Amino acid sequence: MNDIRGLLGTAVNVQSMVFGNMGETSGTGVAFTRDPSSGENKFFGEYLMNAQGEDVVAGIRTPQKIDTLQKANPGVYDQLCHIREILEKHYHDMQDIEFTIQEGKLYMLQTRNGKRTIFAWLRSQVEMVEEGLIDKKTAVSRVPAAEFNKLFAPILDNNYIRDLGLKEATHGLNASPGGACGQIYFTAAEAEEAAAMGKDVLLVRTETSPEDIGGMAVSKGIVTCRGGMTSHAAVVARGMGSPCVSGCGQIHVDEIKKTLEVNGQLLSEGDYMSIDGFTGAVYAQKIPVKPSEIMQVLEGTMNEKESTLYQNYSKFMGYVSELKTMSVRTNADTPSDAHHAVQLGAEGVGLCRTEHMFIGGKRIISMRKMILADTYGERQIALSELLPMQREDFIGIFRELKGLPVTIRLLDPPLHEFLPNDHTSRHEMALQLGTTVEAISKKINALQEFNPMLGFRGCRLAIVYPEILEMQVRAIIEAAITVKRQGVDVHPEIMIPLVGIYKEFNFCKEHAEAVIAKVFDEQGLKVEYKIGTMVEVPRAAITADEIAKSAEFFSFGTNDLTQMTCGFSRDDAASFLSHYVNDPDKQFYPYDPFQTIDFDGVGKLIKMAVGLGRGVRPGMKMGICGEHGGDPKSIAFCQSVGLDYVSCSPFRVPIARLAAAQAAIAQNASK
Amino acid sequence: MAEKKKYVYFFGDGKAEGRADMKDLLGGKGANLADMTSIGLPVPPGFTITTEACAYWDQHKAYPEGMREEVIENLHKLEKMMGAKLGDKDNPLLVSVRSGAAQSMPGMMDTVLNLGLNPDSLQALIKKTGNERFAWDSYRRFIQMFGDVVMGVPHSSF
Repeated sequence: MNDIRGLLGTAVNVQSMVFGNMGETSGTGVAFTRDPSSGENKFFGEYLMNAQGEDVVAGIRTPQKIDTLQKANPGVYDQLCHIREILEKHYHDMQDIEFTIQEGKLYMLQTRNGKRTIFAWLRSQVEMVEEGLIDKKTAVSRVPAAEFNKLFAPILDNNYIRDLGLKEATHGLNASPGGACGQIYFTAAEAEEAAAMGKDVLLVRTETSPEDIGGMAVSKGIVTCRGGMTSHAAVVARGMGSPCVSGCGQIHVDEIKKTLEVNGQLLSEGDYMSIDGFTGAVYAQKIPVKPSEIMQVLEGTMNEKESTLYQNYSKFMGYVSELKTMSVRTNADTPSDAHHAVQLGAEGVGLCRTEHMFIGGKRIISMRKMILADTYGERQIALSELLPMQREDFIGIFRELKGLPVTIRLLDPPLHEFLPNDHTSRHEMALQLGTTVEAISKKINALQEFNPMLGFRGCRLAIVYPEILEMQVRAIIEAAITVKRQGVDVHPEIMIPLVGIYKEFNFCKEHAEAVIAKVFDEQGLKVEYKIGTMVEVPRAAITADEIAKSAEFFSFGTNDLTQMTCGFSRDDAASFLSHYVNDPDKQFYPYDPFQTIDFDGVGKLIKMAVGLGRGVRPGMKMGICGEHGGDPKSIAFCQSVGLDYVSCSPFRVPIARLAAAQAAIAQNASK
Repeated sequence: MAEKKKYVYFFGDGKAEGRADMKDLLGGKGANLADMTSIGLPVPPGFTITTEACAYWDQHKAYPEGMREEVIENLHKLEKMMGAKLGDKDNPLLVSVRSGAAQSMPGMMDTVLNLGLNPDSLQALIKKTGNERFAWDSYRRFIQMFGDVVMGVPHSSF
C-alpha cells in the first residue's frame, strides 16, 4: 500500500521511563501541530490523564481534546504550545508528536512529520508558503501526487439535508474527510461480501483492528463506536482516503443480531446510513453524495469564495504551473471530455481517437457501408456520409481547446471491430444496408485475423484505402478553417498511427498534404497544422532518424510500444505478469510495465528515439499518450528524457500536472 | 584497520550523538529524539541501537562484535545521568524499549514499557514514589507488554 521496498533494519530506542500513570497530574497524549484532517493551522491533539503510552492510540478509552488541557493544566499546555512552534520552525512541516506529563512536568517522546489527508496536505502547504515557513518548491514537492485525486472525492449533499430538515442520528469525530452513503454491515467479511455483490457498503464496527483492512478497503465509508482521531480506524481510513467517523459512543452494535441502536432508533444490516467525514455527522438514512467543492466551483455551481478547498487548490496549482516545465495534455475523444480536461488544467489534447466517432447512431451504418464496399466508388459514397459528422466532432473539440494544440490520430483499430458478431445484429445490418446476411458474414470472415493487434490496422488501413485518410484529413482541416473563421485560434496536429518504416509515413503525409492543399484552395483560407506520427512499433523507435526527416512530431504510444517491445499481449498478460511483478522471489519487473514505463527496456527505446529524432530535427516536439501519461513515476521518466508533454485521461490531469512539477524540481535538484 | 563501527548513539541532557539526517541509521524515531534533544526540548535521556545492528542480526543471527559492550557502556552512562540502576532493589532505573524503522509504519513496531521492574524493584518503586497503585499498574503493564511483544502471549490471556 505504501510502496515500501528494500526495508533496512529496525533501530531500537532505549529511553529512561517517564510516567503518565502517576495519578491525576500525570498523563499522556498525541498531537498534531495542525489539524491532520483539514490542515487548518490549529493545535490538534488528544490526551488521557493517568495513562501510559498505548492507551491513547489503542482506542480503549476515548481521549480528551487537547484544548481542555489548557484548563486542566495551563502550565503544561503553554509549554506544549511553545514546543509546537519550535518544532514547526525547526522541521518546516506539520509534526505528529507524542508526549507524557509526569506529575505536571512535560516530556517529549517523539516527533515526526505528520500523516494527513490530502486536504490537509494542500491546506497546510499553501498556508506554510503564505506564512513564509517554506517555499513553493518545497510545498509542491511534498504533496503526494498519488493521492491527489481524492481532492475530487464526493461529499454529502448539504442542500438535500437542509431542504428535508434531516437531523443527525448521532455525531462522532471527523476522522477522515469525504461524504459516504451506503448500506450498513457490521463485520469486515460481510462488508466484503456485500461489496462484491455491487452494493455501496458502510462498515459500522465497535472498533476496528488490522484484520478488518479488507472490509475497510471495499467500504464507501467507516463508522466506529469507540476510538479517537488516532485510532486504528481513523489512521487507516485517512490512508485509504475513505470517509470515516470514529468514536460514535451513542451507537451500539449487536454483531450477533446484526443490528445497531442509536438514540432509540434501531437499524438492521442492509439499512442505509450516511456519514460526513468532514464534520463527524452521522445520518440514519440515504443521502445523495455530490461532487467535491473543486468540481462544483469548476462547473459554476458554487462560488469560489465559499470554498476554502477550492481557493487552496487554485493557489497550489498556481505554484505547480510556475514550477513545471513539461506540458500536460489530455486524451479526449469528445468535446465534453475536452471541456472537463481543460477545466482541470490540460494544455492541449495529446490524443484524440477518431474511432469512437464512427460508432453510435447513424454513423455506424455509414461506417459499415464503407467497410462492406467493394469498389472505390461505393467507398467514396459512404465516406462522404461520414465527413460532415467527423467535421462537427472536430469543430466541437477545437472550440473547447481555444487555440491549444489538438493531436488527432487517424483511424487506428482493425475494421472488423466495427462489424457485429451475432446473427441478429448481422440480420439487422443486412436490412439497413440492403444486402444479405451471407454477404456480411463473408466479409466478416474475410476480415477475421489471428492476431488483430499486429494485423490490418493503423496506417496500414490508410495505405490500402487512402480515401479513408483523405476524408479524415479533410474533416480536420475544414473544421479548423470553420473555427478560425469564427475567430477561434486553432492548432491541429495530424497523427499517423502504427508507423514502422518511414515510407509508410511519407506515403500518408503526401496524401494528406494533397488534400490539405485542395481544401485551402477551396476555402480560400489556410490554417497552421503539423503532421507527425505515433511511435509505438519498436522499428519506428529504432529508425526514428529516418522518420523524423518528414515527421514534425513524435507521440510515444507507450501501450503498444510496451506490448511489442516486451512481447506481452496486454489482453493476455494477466495470467503471468503478476508473478513477474508481485512475487517477491521473482520481481523481474519492479512495476507492471503497462502501468509504469519499463525504464530499462521500453524507456531505453524512447530515449533512443528522442535522440535520433532531434538529431535530425532539432527541438522536435515529443510527448507520450499511453496510459503511462498519468503515472507519476513514468512522468518523472518523461521529464528525464526531455519530452515536451505527457497526455493522460481528463481526470488524471491534475495529478499529472503535480507529478510533472515534482519531476522538474527533482531534476533541477540533481543537476 | 577500519575504524570500529559505532552501533549505539546516546542522547540526553541537551546533547546527542545522532542527528536528524541519520534516519536510515537510527530510524525516524531515534533520529528525531536525538534532534529534539539537541535543540533543547525536554526529552528523557536514552540511546539508540542502529538499524545496522538489526541488519547484522538478520544476516548472522548474532550480535555484531563489540555491540554488547557498547550497549552496556551506554546503559551505565544513562544510569549515571538518571542516578538510578537497572534492576536495582533500592533505586531502580526503568526504561522504555521501542523499535523504529527508517520509514514510519504506525502500529507496526514493537514497544515494551517499564522494563526494569521485577518483584524487588517493584517494592523499591512503591517506596520511592509512595504510590502503590501506580507501581502495580506499571508492573502489570510491563508483564502484559513483555508477554505480548517478547513472549508472544496474546492480550486476551490477561
